[in-house]
This record gives sequence, structure tokens and C-alpha cells, in this order.
Amino acid sequence: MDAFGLALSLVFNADTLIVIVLASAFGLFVGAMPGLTATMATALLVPITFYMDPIPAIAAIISCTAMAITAGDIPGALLRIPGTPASAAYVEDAHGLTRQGKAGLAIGISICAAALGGLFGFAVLMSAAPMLARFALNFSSFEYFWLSLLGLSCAVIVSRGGVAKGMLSLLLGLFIAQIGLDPLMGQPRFTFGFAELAGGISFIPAMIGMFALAEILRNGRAGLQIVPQIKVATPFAGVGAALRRYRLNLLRGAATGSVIGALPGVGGDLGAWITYSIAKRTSKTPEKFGTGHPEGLVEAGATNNAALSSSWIPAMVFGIPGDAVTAVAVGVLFMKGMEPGPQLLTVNPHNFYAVLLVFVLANLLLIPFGYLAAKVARYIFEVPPSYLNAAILLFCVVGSYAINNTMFGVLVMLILGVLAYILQSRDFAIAPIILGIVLGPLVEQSFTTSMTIARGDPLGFFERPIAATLGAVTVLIWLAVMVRAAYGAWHLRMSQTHNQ
Amino acid sequence: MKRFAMATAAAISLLATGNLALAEYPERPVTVIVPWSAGGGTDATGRIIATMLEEKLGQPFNVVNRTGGGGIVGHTAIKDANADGYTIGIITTELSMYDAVGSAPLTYTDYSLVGLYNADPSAVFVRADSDYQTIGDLAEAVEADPEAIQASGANFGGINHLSWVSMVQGLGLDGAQSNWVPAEGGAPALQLLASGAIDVAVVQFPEAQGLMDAGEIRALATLGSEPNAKHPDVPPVTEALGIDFAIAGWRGVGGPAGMPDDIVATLTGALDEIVASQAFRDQMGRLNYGVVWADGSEFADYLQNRGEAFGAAISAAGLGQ
Amino acid sequence: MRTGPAADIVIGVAFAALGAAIIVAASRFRAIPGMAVGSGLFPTMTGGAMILFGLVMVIGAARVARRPVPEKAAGTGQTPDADDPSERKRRLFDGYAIALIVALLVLIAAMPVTGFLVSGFVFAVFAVRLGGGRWAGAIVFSAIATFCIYFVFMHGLRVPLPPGPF
Repeated sequence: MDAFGLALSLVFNADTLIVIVLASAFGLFVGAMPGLTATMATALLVPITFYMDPIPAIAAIISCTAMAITAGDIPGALLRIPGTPASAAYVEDAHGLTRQGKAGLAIGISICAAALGGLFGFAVLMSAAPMLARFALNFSSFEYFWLSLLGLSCAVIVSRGGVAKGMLSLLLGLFIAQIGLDPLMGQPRFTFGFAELAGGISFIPAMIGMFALAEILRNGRAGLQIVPQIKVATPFAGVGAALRRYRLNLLRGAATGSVIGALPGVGGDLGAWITYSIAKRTSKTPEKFGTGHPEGLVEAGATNNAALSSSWIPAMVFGIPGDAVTAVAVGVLFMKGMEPGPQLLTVNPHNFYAVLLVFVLANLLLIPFGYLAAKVARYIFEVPPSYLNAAILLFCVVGSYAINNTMFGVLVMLILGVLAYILQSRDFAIAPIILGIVLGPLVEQSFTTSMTIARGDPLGFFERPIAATLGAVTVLIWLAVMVRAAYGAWHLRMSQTHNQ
Repeated sequence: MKRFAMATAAAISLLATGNLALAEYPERPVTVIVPWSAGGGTDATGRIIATMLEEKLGQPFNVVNRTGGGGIVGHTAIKDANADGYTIGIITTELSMYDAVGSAPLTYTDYSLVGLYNADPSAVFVRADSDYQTIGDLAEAVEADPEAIQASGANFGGINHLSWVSMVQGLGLDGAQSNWVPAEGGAPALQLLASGAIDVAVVQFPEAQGLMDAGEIRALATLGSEPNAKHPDVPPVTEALGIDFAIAGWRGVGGPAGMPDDIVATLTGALDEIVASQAFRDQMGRLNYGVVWADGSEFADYLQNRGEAFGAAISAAGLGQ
Repeated sequence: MRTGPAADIVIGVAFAALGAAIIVAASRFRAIPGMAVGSGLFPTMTGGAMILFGLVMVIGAARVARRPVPEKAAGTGQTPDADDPSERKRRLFDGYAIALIVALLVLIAAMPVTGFLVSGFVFAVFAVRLGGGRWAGAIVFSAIATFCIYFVFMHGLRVPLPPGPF
């Protein structure tokens, strides 16, 4: 417990606390801007952390990341522009609530579920980090392949518009991900000789275009619908009731998130999709999903931040970063002489505990900052639509420019935005396209790696126990979908012949 | 003829950008392209260099990760940038190979070379519970059946792949017979090793440190002629197997060909001071990266030698065009 | 663009054609010597699935078109946007959509030449006017918004927006 006392003194001093608050505010600002990402916020912080002591430096990265990712839900709820691929899972529900005049409730549920999920993730980190890390080490390319396929299947099946259209959306995303140099040999694919295309298409301009621009086109001259927001005493009214009502979803979402999040590379993006579809599957009112129903929002929101916490497990225990953000953070850990690895837990446990304490603080800070954001958010709807539209469009342009500092990003944003506008008018879901772009490289890489290891034998995909289980679940889900579709068609035909 | 054409091109671009260079360089922020993803060794060392260049030269040096295609995207972006000194980049080992492997027509002559700051050999790792106790055991198994041993470390034709092929060849076998599993980089390859999907990982020490400390994996040999400073007990292959080994990973700073000479000189001067500084050595030492220094012309000689060594290994391994 | 199942048939056919094009392009990728898989394998699988599901969609839409039953019964999901009747009445590419798309194209071409401050300002004025805002408001708002975004991105977030000739 000595180490814990030392950790307390490392965290609860003026310097560290000020750093945490400032980094959180910065994260909130960057995360709430459509198009700016947590990765960008983190990368901007790194040079500043060079001049800090180790604990404040790590604290800055952690609190900024947690805040930026959660704040990405705010433009999602208000303007239907999700901040991260994960928050695209529940953006329809969050925006649906806003259209009912309950923007405060939508933001409140997102933020509070995220904070609670993050705290749950902390508990897992505290008690089971080495165990979870060891479990995550069992995952080879075979397991990754099945897991990502499972996550993508969930995204397709929950999408409105039917399985065929959801599947086509996903395939379009996978195809977009293939544009550029291939991961095996670096030979150009579908680039038509353009150097810009060789760099591939980033999901950020795609996401901005397909959600924000398409939404503006869809609403037309009238602008974003001005929804009179219900005036309540506090913007978070009703949040507690919703969380209590769906407490099982909250718990399940957080638990699933902590396990999936520990898998480097996939956890953060996929977790929310998997739990959203679980929530829809097990709900008494699945037909309400996607229209502004809090149930999926609670579960997937909790998953999001729980996965974020536990995505630090492989990074801290084995030095294997799962995504760009933790990769940057691992670099900072190294630079500050806190080499990731098991000795972080044994030799210098006070450093490890201090990092955990920062997690708690960062997640607790989400609530007051989120409250402020929700209070301010209401005034967005006081802005006349023509001005709001112009401002959003400017952000779309600048945000998609910023990804590589070229106009090419803006062009991608425009083309994909128009494409999404067309597809959406025929009930194609947009989110699977984004997920396909994000996870396409992982699916392809894990598939080709596995094929190489198995020497081209498809049975090799079922030889390892975890891979076989994940594979079987995926196959069963698709069998269930096909049986239901066949039964539906048969039922329809029967009822028709009956009528005739 | 090619040299003449290049000199002409350089002279023309010098004229074209000359008036820009008149003001004291740098007078606005400089972009530093890193061809590998955030969190890797190139990114970590590149960010140290960028921050220190910023301190020295008084303008922001913004790191931009341009990843994909085994570094080809980023290297191409550096090559194609305006040669005005406001876009430079970190160039890496893979530049010695693209042309020989035939994956991209990129060589060191496409760049204005600022300086070399790092060189590290790779090492061979196995799982802790592996049957191979020494590099000798592994060598015997490879000699018995080179195709049975599955190794990974990064993309096909990357530094770790070539190191592995060279070792297999050093054993007197056909390098093309070795079984290489392509992965996205060091970390995914280590994940494959730890999960038991492959037998051998060829990566650099800093990437494997965490798993080594955890007792999940063991290092069998350093693929070079000298032992690693932090791991003196891991034998170099030259000593353990009697194989002569010249392949090592390197990292340097470069810009597009035809950058004005005075700008290159400014950057080289600043980088020289940085690499010589104790602060830089401390940071690199903490990350366990070796520090070396070679300025523009020495860097070019170094790269010419490397290019030839890599070219020989690649064509002998049956990977060449 | 036509509405109803006819549009679905067009989109389904378009997807199937894209899938076929992907397979043809993928067959030309260089194979890696001595490897079980090549760069073209995954694209080929994607293209094949696109053809399959494109055809499934065409068949589904054709069945809906042939039958005088409501669309809802064909299993294509909930009737969408019941809360948003305005959307169905609008043409897909009306004057507003076309004007906005053209304006963005002009902006993409103009920004590297004139810089963000000028092109962004003109674009913002146009966007406000297009949405029905007044001239005075449009100019004041656009000037402030453009300058704030420029300042925050250039100096706060270190995004080098095109400075233009100034």
C-alpha cells in the first residue's frame, strides 16, 4: 500500500491536477470539432510533454484522449457527425433524441455511460491487467480475422435497410480500403496512376463527407431542422433514470468493452458495434433502435470508454500498442523512462497506480465537462440554419484538409459525401461503409497472414480453439440470418397464395 | 548521362527556388514526413529530431505520418515534395531495397541527404517455451527443412525479411526456400510469435523489450557482427554461426532532391549538433536505439554500400526483378 | 433519379458491375513468387461478394416491383423517415444540392491559389446566401468565421492551411 500512497502524492499535487484539467479542456475542444480526432490531439500534445515530469506527461495524454474520444459524441448527437468510427454505431439514436428536442439527454447519456464504462474499465485494469494481457497474447491473425469478421457482421445485421444493402455498404467500404498500395508487396491497387490515391483513402474525410455533407444535402435549403429543445432545469435531467432503467445494458456493455478493448488493434473500433447489436438482439423493443432510443446508446456508450481504458493493457504490460493513440502514449512512456512491460507493475508499481488514478480522474472529469458542453450545445440550435450550415461546411473542408494537409482530402470528402447522399436516399446504411474503410486493412492483413501460415488451407482457420469458436459464432449468425430470410420469403409466398 | 540530367535538374530547381531561399531559412513551419505509423521506432526518433530541430532553428517542425505500402507512400511523398526545404522527412532502411525488390523506383539519389542518425541490427526471437535453446539449435532445424520454420517480422522484402533470408543463406541454403509470413510491422509479428502462430520473429530489440521482460519470448542472436549494448549476453551471428553480416536497419533525415545547398547545410549543421548532444543520446539510449552520425556525403557513401549489400542479398534470395 | 424499386434495381446492377470491374482489375495484379496468396485475392473476394449481393438486391427489388404488396412486407426493413416527409417530396439533385456541390468544387480548385482566407470567405458568404441568409449577416459572419478557423488551425493546431499570395 506504500506504493499506492506514493501514487496518490504523485497525482494529487497542483502540477498534475492542472495538467489534467488543461489537457481535458483541450481534448474536449478538439474532440467536439467535427473532423478533428483524438489521435491528432494526442500527437499535438507530445512535444509539450517533453518538458513535463513523467506522471503529468502521461496524465496529459490519458485525460486528453479520454475527453477527445468522448467529446466526439457531441457533434454526433447534435449534427449527426460521429467523432469516431465507434460512435457511428449509435449516432442515429443520439441524433434521434436531439430531433425529439432532447439534445441534453443524448449528450448526458453518452457522457455518463462513457464515464461509468471508463470507471469499470479502470476496475478491470486494476485487478486483471496481467491476466487480460496474457489472454490477449493468445490472439494471432486467425483470431483477429474472425473477430473482425464478427464485428463487421454485427454492423451489417443491425443496419436498417436490410441485410443485402448493409452488406453492399460494407463491401463498398472494404473496396475503398483497398485503394492504395497493398499491404503485402506495396504494389498499387485501383490507383489509376494517381500518386494521391496511392496513399489510400483515410476514414476521416470519408466520415465527414458521408455523415456531415450528406446530412446538409439531405436537409436541403431548409437547413438542419431547427428542433425546439425542451427547456429543462438541467441538461442532464432524465439521465439518471435512463441509466438506472438500462443498468444491465450498462454493466454488460462495460464488461464486454473491457475484454474486447484489451485486444490490440480492433477493440476500440469494434466493441461498440458488437454491444450495440447485442443490445438490439436482446431488447424487448428492437424496432425502436435507430430512432432515438436510449437502450443501445447506454450499452454502446459504456463499451466505448471501457474499451478505451483496457486498450492500455497490452500497451502497458507488453509494449504492444493497439492504435495510434496508445502508440504515441507508449512512445511517451519510453521517453520518460517508464518502459512498458511487466516491470511497470512490479518494479515501479507506484507509477502504474498513478496511471490508474489518472484514469479515474479523467473519467470523473468527463461529467462536469460534458455537463458544460450539453448546456452550451443547446444554443447551437438558436443559430439560424443558413449560418450553421455555412459553419459546418467550413469545418468539413478544413477538417478533411487537415488529415494530410492536401486538397485531395476535401475532394474525397465531397465525392463520398455525394455518394452517401445517393445511397442514403435508398436506405443504405452509411456506418458499415465507414467501418469497412477502418477495418478493411486489418481484415485483409489478418486474412493473408493466416492464409500464408496455413499454406492456403482454409481449414487452418478453425484449428486454434479461440479462432474456431469465433469462427463458429460468425458462421452461426449468418446461418440464422439466411434461415430467417428464407423463412420470411416462404411465409410471404404462402400468405400470398393463400390470399389468391 | 543520368548524373548529368540530375545535376541539370538540381540546378534548375535551385534557380527556381533560389529567391525563396534568400530569406533566413526557416521562415515558416517545416513539415517532417514520417513514412511509418505513430508509435514505431521511426516515429519516436523522428519526433525527437523534429522537436530538437524546432529548438535549434526556431520554427515549428510538424511531424506528419504518411503510412502505407511498406513505407513507399511516405518516401514517395518526401521525394515529390517541393524542394524548398519546407518539407523534409525521415528516410529509412527500406529505401535501400525498393528498387532491388522492384516494389518502387526509389533510391537514395532521389533525395537531398541531410544526415544519418541511427543504425541498428535486427535480432532473432523465439517463444520462451520454444525447443530452440540457442541459435545453433535453430540453425540445425532450418538446415533440416527451411520451409518448416515460419518466420515473420514485417512486410515481404523488408529489412527483417532480408536479414532472415541472409541468415538462411549464410547457412549455405537457398534463401528463397525460407518461409516468411508478411505482417504489418514488428508489433503484429511479435503478437503472432507470442500467440504461437509462427516459430521465429525477426525484429529489433526495442520492439521486443516488453515481451522479453515478461518472459514470454527469448532472444537467440543479434543479426550483426557486434553484440547489442543493452544485451551483451545475446551472441551476434558472426560469432555464433560464423556468418558475415552487413545488413542493418538505418534511419536518416532527407528531403526531395534539388533542395538548395544552403538549406541542406543549415539542416545538416543543426542535425550534427543534435546528434552530438547528450540530450539526444540520452533519449535514444532510453529507447535503446543506437546513435551514429554521417553527414550528407558520408551518408551517400553509406547508402551506396548498403544498397549494394542489400541488392546482392535480394537477388540471391530470388526476390529481385 | 427514379424512385421506388426501379432505383434499387439500378443501384444493384451498378454494384454488380463494380464487383465485376474489381475482379477484372484484380486479375492483373502481379503475383508474389512462392506465396500462397497474392495482392489480388482479397479484392477478388470483395468483388465476388459485391456481384452476389448486388444481384440479391436486384432480385428483391424486382419481386417488390412485380407484386402489388406494400414495400414493407418484402422484408426490406422499416419504412424509413416516417418523421421526415419533406425528404420524399424533394428531387435528389435539386438546385440547392447542385449549387452546393459546384461551390465545393470551385473551392477545392481555388483554395491552393487564393489561400484559405479569401476562398473560405467567399464560399461561406455563398453558403449563407444559398441557405437564405441576408447579405450583411453573411459578410460579417463569414469574415469572423473564416478568420477564427484560420487562426485556430494555423496557430493552435498547426495545420498549415494554404496561406495564398499574401
